[in-house]
Parts: sequence; C-alpha cells; structure tokens
Amino acid sequence: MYKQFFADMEWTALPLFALGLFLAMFALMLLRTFAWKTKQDFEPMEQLPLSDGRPVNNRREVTP
Amino acid sequence: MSQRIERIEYDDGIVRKFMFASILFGTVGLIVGVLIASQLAWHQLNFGIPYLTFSRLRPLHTNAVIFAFVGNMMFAGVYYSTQRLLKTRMANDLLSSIHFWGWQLIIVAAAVTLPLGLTTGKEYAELEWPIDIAIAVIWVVFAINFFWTLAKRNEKHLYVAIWFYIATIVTVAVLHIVNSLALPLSPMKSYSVFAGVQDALVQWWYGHNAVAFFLTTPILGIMYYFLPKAAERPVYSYRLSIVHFWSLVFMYIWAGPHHLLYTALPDWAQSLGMIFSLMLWAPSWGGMLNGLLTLRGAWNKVREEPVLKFFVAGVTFYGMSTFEGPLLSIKSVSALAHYTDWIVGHAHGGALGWNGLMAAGMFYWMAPRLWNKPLHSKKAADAHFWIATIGIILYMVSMWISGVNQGLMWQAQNADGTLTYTSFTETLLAIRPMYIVRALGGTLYLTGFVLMIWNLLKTVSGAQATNTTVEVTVEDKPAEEPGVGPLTVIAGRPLWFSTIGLVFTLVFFLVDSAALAIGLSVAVLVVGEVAYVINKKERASGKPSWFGLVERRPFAFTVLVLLSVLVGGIAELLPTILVKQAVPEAGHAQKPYTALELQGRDVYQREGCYLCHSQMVRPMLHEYLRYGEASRAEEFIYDHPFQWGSKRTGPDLHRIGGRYPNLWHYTHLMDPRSTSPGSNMPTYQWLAEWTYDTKLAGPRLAVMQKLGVPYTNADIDAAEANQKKQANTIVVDLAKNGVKANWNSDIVALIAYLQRLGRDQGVALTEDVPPTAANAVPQVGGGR
Repeated sequence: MYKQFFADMEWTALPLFALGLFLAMFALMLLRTFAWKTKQDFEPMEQLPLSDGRPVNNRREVTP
Repeated sequence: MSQRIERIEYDDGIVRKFMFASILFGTVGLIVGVLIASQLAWHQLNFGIPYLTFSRLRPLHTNAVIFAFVGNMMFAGVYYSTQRLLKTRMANDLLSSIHFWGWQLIIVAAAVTLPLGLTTGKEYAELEWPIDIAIAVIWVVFAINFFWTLAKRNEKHLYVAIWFYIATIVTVAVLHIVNSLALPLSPMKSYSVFAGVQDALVQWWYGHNAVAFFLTTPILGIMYYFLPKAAERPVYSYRLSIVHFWSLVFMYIWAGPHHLLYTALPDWAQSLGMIFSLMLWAPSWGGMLNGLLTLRGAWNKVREEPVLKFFVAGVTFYGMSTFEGPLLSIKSVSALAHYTDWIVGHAHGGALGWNGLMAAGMFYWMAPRLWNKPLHSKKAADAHFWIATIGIILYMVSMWISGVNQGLMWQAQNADGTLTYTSFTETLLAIRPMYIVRALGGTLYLTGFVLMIWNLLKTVSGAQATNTTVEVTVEDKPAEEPGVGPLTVIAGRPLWFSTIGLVFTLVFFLVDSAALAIGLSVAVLVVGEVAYVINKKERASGKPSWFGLVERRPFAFTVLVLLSVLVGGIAELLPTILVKQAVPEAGHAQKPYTALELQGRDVYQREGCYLCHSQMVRPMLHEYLRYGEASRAEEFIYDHPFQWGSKRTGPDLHRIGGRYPNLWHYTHLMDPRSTSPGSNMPTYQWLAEWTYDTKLAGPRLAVMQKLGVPYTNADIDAAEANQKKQANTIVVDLAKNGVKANWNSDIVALIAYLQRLGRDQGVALTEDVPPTAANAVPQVGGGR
C-alpha cells in the first residue's frame, strides 16, 4: 500500500509531508490535553514545589 | 486512609558539596575556555607546550564544562529538589557520598589524562576505557540511590521534575554504555568497536543526546522545581508539562544525524535527523513558554529578584537555542553553517545562556537556604547577571558573524568557476577580529562568574551550614486498587491501543491493496473511538485515569521512558549497523591501514587534530574544487574510531594524502606558518623528538583484527618489521631534503597516516607509493 501512497510523491515532499503530519498530530494532542476537564487531577501535583513541608525552627547545624 | 506528621531532616550536606564542586570546576572550565579562545586569536598562547595546546585543552574545556560544571550543578539540583518533592531524605547517605567522591575522582582523572593526550578521539566521549567504566559504576550508584529514594518517598505523586530526572538517569546510562563500547589495547588506549559510518552515527546519537539528556532534561527538571519556588506560584500549565516531557524524550533521541548532514551517512538517516530536529521545535518551545508564563502576574518580581532574572534569561536562551538548533538542522542551512563557528556560537548560547544562567540562579537561590543567611549582595548578583549577559551576546554575535563569513568565503566562486578564496587561511585572517571579540565575551562571562563566587563566599562566611528539617503530613500507603498492579499499568489500555495502532501502521507498509489500507485506517479510527468511550465510562465511575496511575509508579514510568527512548535509537542505529552487509563489494576494495599508519592515526587522535580538521569532503562543488572527490561511506570501514570531525578551524584533510611531499608535512607540523602564512595552528615540534613504543604494532593490529579489520596473522607477526620498513622510506625521503628524523618518531608515523588519507581505490589521486617531492600532486585551487 505504501508504494501506491508514495508513488506520486517526490522525495523532497516526503519530509515535508512527515513534518505536516507531525504538526497536525501535535496540535491535536495539545487540543486533547487542554480539552481535559480534569484540571483537578493535576492541581495536587502542580502545588508540590510550593508545599515541600513546614520548616521546623530548630535547624540542626552540621559540621561543614 | 490515616495521616500522620513526620519530621524529616534533609541531607543538604550533599547538595552543598555538589554546589561547591560545580563552582570550582566551572571556574576551571571557564578559565580553560578563555585560554583556548585566546589561542585561536593568538597562536603564541599555545607556548609550544604539548599539554597546553588548543587541541589537547579543548576536550578538557568541554569535559570540564559539561560533566564537571553542569554535571555537579545538576546533581546539586537533583539532590535538593528530589528530597523536597518526595518529602523524604535521600535513601542512603553512603551512596550519596560515593556518588559525590566518585564523580570528582572521575573529573580529576579527566583533567589529568586529557592534557596528556590519553583520548579515545571521540568528541565529548574522549575519556579512556577505565574512566568510562568508573563513570558507569558511579552512575549506577546514583541511580540506585535515586530510585531507592523514590521507593521510600512520602509523597504519592511524582512531580514533573522527577520525570525529567528519571529520563536523564535512564537515557544517559544507555548512551554512555553503547557509545563507549571499545576494545582495549593498553591500560589507557582503546578502539571503538564501531567503525566509520556506524561509529559516526553512534557517536552523534550519543553526542546530541548528551546535550539532550545531560544538559537539557535535568535542567528542565530543575526549572520546573526552582522557577515556581522563586516565583511563588505553580507552573503555568501542568498539562503542558506532560506534553513537553513525553514529546521531548521521544523525539530528541532521533535528532542526532543532523550533525552528519551531507556526509557519507545514508540519506534516509540524514533526512530523519533533520525532520525530528524540526519537530523538536514544538515541545522545546512548549517547555520554554511554560517556564516563562509561570511568571504571569509576577513579572515585577523579576525586576527585584536576581534569582528570577537568571531563570528568565536562562529559559529565554533555552528558547533561542532550541529555535536555532532546528534551523541549523535544515540541510540547506547546514550546508552553509556546518564546520563553521556558527555551530560554536549555537553551542555556547546553550551552555553559557541556558546551563550557566540556570546554574547561577539556582546557586543564588540555594546558598541562603543552605547556610541560613541572606544573600550578601543583590546588587553584585545583578551586576553578575548583566556582565554575563553582555558576555554571552558578544560571544554569540561574534560567532554568528564569523560562521556566516566562513561559510560564504568557503563557497565563493568566481565567474569562471574557480574558488574566490583559494587559500584556507584567507578565511581565517578574515574572522580573526571575531575571535578576539569572542575571547572578550568569554572573559566577561568569567568575570561575572568570579563575582558570583565572591558574593557566595561572603554569604556563607560566618554562617553555619544547616540541614533543613521539616514536618510533613504523610498519608499511610493506601491499599492498591483491585486489579491495578504495576503489570496492569504497563499493559493498560492506552498501551494496548497504541500497540494496535502501530501494528496497523506496519501492515500499511506490508500490504499492497488500497482497499485493505483504507479498511485498516477505518479500523484504527474505530479502535481510537472505543478507547475514548471506555476511558470516558471509567472516569465517570470515579476510577483514576491511566496516566494518574502511571505517574505515581516509578517502575512503570521508567519502563515507558526507556521504551520511548529506545524506539528512536534502535530505528536509527540498527540499519546502519547492519549496513555492513550492504557494502562488501566496495568495502573489499579498501585496504586496511598499515601498522605505521595506524600508529600515526593514534598520534593524530592524541594531539586532537580532529578538533580542527574534518575528514569528510561533502558532495558540493566548492568542496570538490577545494579538496577533491567527495568522501564515500566505504572509505571509512576500517576507521576505529571515525575521525570526520565537526569543525574546520583548519581545512579538511580527507584528500590530503599525496597532495604534498613528506617534507611539506614535516615543515608544516614543526612551524605551520612557514608553509601556511596566517595559520593559527600550534607548532608540534615535540613530534620530532617523541618516539613511540614500536612493540605495540603487532598487538594493535591484533585488536583491529578482533574488531573485524581483515588483517592476517602474518600481517600481525610482521607488523613491527613492516612498520620500520615503511618509516624508513619517509626518513630517507626527508633526508634527501636535509631533514634528519628518527624512524620511530611520532612525526614520521603521523606523516605516514596523513599521506594515506583519501588514497584508497577509486579515488582520483590514488598512488601506491608514498609521495615525495618529485611525485607530489600539484595543488589545484584548494589552497590550505
């Protein structure tokens, strides 16, 4: 099948076709990702760097 | 599910150690960088000392910056953020210590061996086999400690930074082990098991992904942790970070061949490399924008907070580099830019801008927290930022101008079709002012770095190093959901559906019927729809998403990362490794190097000639006019390792064999400017004095025989005698011109190798006898 598919395609067009295919897929993937109505799924994760524990006052000094 | 409060003391000592090591070796790397940049402008700065020549110091510079400066910085960031993101101390302090001291020993070993000329001759992988083994062992120690920490964590979710660290650990291990496969000749000399085209592809698969998985992914992890911390707000889009991560790790691995455009690499591999490089634009910029947009509503902080200045500029340089990289990967752009200083400017935009500024931002963030004392001077940090930024701009702009100038001058032809600039040194003299500006830019960057050291020293002086202790709320591990184990996750629906999709794609390439193909396409759509419906139903019933299950399972996650990475590697490397079977007819015409030529090849690698001279004539008219016939894949089948090079500070050497008499080479090596006025090449006078171990001739051939080079046992037995015999023909020829040389001197071996280059069968210049003053081929157009 691929022979028929590529039969009328010039070699120079193939990379451009692949690039176009990728961009379309990437755009679809982005759409899909941002269309998730599940932002709450990720909220706990995106807060992780901001909630890495309550510092305790008695920081232990260590020998350098 | 119950909760409890747990008190955790982080191991910040290991972070301080790595930070200190990074700053120390960063200083060394930058000083050496400024020195070698100056050497290109003023050749006298090579001082005629072997250990201080550009070609030996350049690997020291790249290794120091990549593995010592960025490596230690990366480890500091990983150890700091991993403990906090997983709410646990590193699993084992002893492993952390072994990792730290082992890595520093490796760096010291590199700093000693590289100036001594102990090298594999492969860019960014120059370290010899015992050090390579040590790297693998220490990397495994790091990996055990890291994954052990993941196993004992107190946080069920794995934050995106941890994903990037996992990808780094797994992929660097694969890259390092495959590219370092070599057969030892002696305790400090080995030969790559790959040859020619295969070696080139493996090397740049490694080389490009060293940039990707050593200089990029861990720093992206650091960005995703430290930028939200400094901005005091979560990352702009966590969902975008998921897309960023998976598309980046999958695509990066394919992009290596863009370093080999217009070479003897098969065209399909070149095109594949180019296309995936262009694709990388999308995820890279997705990541950059995700970083910058994290500051939405907080841009005023950038004005006041030096840490954010460094992060914002670092991420911006990441965006610039990842725009320029794909641009340079387009074949027509590469035709102009490859081998020129443009590539050097591009690499330094990433190293100085992305890595260097992110490192500085991280150090300024961590030091006050690791020593519990405010930063000594924000003004000094601001000054560092501006000095460094101006330095980078000077560096990059000068290299752009220099590179484009070089490329255009090499290509320039007169109306009658001859080269406009016949002598290579004409281009060298034209770009010299830019080399001076580059050295100035590097010096400014170093000055900023020294200012940072002063600022950090003042910050920590009088302060006591402290370990941070925190109280965290820990959830007792919930019972596994029924039917959801690691295996379930790996074999989950998304993977099954992906596999079915891949199978259909393969069938597309195998079947020869349009109707069947259309049917298969419809089937793929149906499968996708079914996947969507099932997923929607399960989510509606309250079950976690498949991704939600995966992201909290390190093992499953690591397996998926490994698969994503291996697909590209196998798809590109395997056909090229098997290509040996496809070129036997042409390959049989190649003659292996003689014992003396192989010895000369070792000298060529030891002195780092490949760092300034390519051995790859591209199929372009101007290259034909300057150098001769284009290089072909089969000409390199016995090259363990390949020596194609990546930069032309000097001219290409693949067709140098037979162009000049032995005397010319001797004179050129002793004093390059006597034969090539305007050259910036160092003198290599010690080559006439140094002698080599002649007894290694046989063992060297035996190693090559094991690697598949068709030497007979008789060749090996006679290697030492043949070596002397061939050397004497050169010695006699030199003597006729009044030059006395020892037959076993390095210079004679190197001349034998240079005279052999590009003289295999099928090449127009083929001569079986070594050229002498009498039979030298006159130079046509291609001035050196």
